[in-house]
Order: sequence, then structure tokens, then C-alpha cells
Amino acid sequence: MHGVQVSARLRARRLAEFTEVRLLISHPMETGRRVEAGSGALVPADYIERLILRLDGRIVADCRLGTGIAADPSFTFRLKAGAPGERVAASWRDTQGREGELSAVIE
Amino acid sequence: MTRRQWLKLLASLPWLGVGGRLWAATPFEEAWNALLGGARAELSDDIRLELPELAEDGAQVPLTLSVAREDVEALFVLAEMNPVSLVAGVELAADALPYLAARVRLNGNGVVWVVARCRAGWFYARREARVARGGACG
Repeated sequence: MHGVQVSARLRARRLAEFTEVRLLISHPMETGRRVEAGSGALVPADYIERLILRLDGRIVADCRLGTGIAADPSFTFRLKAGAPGERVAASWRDTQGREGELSAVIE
Repeated sequence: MTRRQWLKLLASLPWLGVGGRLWAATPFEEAWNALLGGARAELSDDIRLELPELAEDGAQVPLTLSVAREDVEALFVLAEMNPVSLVAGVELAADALPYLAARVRLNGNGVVWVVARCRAGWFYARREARVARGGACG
């Protein structure tokens, strides 16, 4: 199942009208309301609460997320700007204080 | 990014419109009022919200939204059946199109709302969602 290790994939492609940015993060997105089978204990909340997308260093989307986001979240953004070769970066932080960052060159 | 860089980045962002109360487990009406802060929102055909007719698994529901307006500043998704109604809030820079696709949790049947904060005011769209297997937010 999910460990502490958080892995992710980021892909950005320039299409005719926009740059499509697809981000997948491996994360349990624990709500803090789930009861563990067996022990009956509440599993502590552990979800990504902030996600920032940048294009060549400038912020293009700043997201606040809650427990309504599915486990192993996937996000697709569309940018007006962005040319092949430019770099897109995603940074995120979860409620346990873990941080992740990933960047990709626009194809 | 280092922790220090993160904190610096976060401190540099004035995140308007969303206070901590919004993320608490409150009835939908309270979340809605906290989000809009007394402003009126207008139903808009410019907002397109796509959800499956019947989602098999409430824990993984694909949602796509887009707005056919040029002045969108932020997008919010609310699910009135969830313990915490606000699912996501996204502040968009001018370089981003008002579009988002994500997988969400829907805790049963109910209405999903998209609210767009635009320069001209607040606009919304709503859609009934049906979920074969709910209880996804527990």
C-alpha cells in the first residue's frame, strides 16, 4: 500500500490551443475520518493541501485541496502560454509536512 | 524546493477568498456563504462541468470543468454531500486557462457545484451526481 515515499509523474505537451499539463501524485489522501479495519483506530489525516504549478518560474496555478480529492490524485491543467522546451514545475505539500516537487520540459 | 523556499513562496501569495473555516466540516450552506462572503453568484451557461452519469466508485470520480470566459480569477469545486464541502480552490494566473480536470471523492448522491470568481463577479454551475458506491470520504 502507501508508504511514506511519495512518487509522482508530470507531463507537459504543447497542443494547438494550449499547453496541457498532467500531474499524477502517489499519495493516500487520508481524510482523518477513516477507521482502520481490525484495530478500529482512526487513520490520521494526511492529504495534500497545497499545490502550486509554475511555468518558467512564475506561478500559473495555486491550488488549495481538501479531503474531497481522490487518493493518488491526478490533475490536468491547461496553459495559454508555454512553448516546447520551456519548463513546468509542480510543488506540493501535505498536512504531515511532506513536500514534493517535480518539473518537466514541455514537449 | 527547500522548506525555506516553500515558506517564502507561500508567504508571497495572498490567497484571497478562502479562510480556514471553509475547510471545516460544515453544512454546505455555511461553506457557500463563507466562500462568497455575502456576494451573489449568478448561474452561468459559460461554466461547463462534466461528471459521469453514474460514478461506479465515489472514491475516484473524474471531474472536468471549464469556463468560457476571459476574466476568471479562481475556480472552486464544492460537493454538498461531502463532510467537507469544499473540494478544491484554484487561483489562476493570466497564463492559465480556466480549466481543471481531477479525480474527486463524492460521498454519495448529491449536487456538485463549480463557482468561478471572475473580475465581473461570481458565477456558478451545478450538477446532480450519482454514485453507485459512496461513503468515499470516511
